[in-house]
Amino acid sequence: MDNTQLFMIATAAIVVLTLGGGVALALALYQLSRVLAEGAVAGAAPTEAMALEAAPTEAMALALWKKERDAERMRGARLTAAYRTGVMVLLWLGLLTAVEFVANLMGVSTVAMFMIALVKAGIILQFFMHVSSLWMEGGSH
Amino acid sequence: MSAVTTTLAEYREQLKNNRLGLWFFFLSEAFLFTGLLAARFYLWGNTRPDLDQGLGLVVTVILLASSFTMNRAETGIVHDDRERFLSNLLVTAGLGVLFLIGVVGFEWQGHIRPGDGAFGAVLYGMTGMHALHVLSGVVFILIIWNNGRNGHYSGERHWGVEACAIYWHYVDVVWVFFYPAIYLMGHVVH
Repeated sequence: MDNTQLFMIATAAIVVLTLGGGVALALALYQLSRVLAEGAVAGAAPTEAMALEAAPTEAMALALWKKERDAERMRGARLTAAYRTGVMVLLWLGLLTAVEFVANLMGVSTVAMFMIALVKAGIILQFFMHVSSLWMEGGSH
Repeated sequence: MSAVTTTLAEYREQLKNNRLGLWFFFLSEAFLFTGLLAARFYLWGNTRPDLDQGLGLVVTVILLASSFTMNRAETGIVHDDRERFLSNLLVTAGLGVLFLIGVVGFEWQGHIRPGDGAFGAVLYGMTGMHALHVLSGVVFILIIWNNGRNGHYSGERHWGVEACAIYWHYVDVVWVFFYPAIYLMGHVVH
């Protein structure tokens, strides 16, 4: 096995370990957050049996109950989507950091690495700092 | 601010001004950090000191992860998910402390000292100024956490949380440029 092959294997190993470490860290933080929250989400989700028990029999009240139930489900879906966006952003940032690290090992130019940093900064500005909200009416993000 | 503003409409109008003011503050901060980056490229050129690459990567991943948990905290309060808001704030503060330990406790104990010419001056200047911002961010987060624990903030009114989160992400953005400038760009001079 020559030096080039060793270098390629080492590069691949660094990428896999960095990404694996990032994902493992994200999962560990997610679990830690769940433990600290003491199953708040699980507690909020009503079971089918609870829903049937709580369902009123009158037609008008039933319609109102269904409306409230749908609103609650919609709220849950929005919350899940928001959390999922955060996970995707973390994965992209981890991937770009790994690319940056390997690019350094391969002797990539300073300009190329600066461009990678610009892309990372752009992702944080848009998805975490909500820079576009500056031009929105003053509602929530 | 709640003592001044009474209705949600007034609060939202005030929010626009608050956001603009915060971003002007970031603009002024950008001059400071750009000055430090300019000093690095002027004094180091296409070289860099021999630093621990593994440590640089680890503290970078820690700071990126802290931005993720801060985003979860902000998302939590926006959706009135208070438990997750509070727990993620604490995790973010913890990761910030870990970052500080990595930089101050390990990187600063390496072979380069502040008096070691251009390498020492720039390295300590850049990491020191950034660490100071991380430290102030951790204090900010703990204040927000304490307020949140005492029932402040809601899905409609959480400017304090938003400002804290954006400040923390800004500190992360600064490191996004500092990390390659300190650890990756240029060839190593022993």
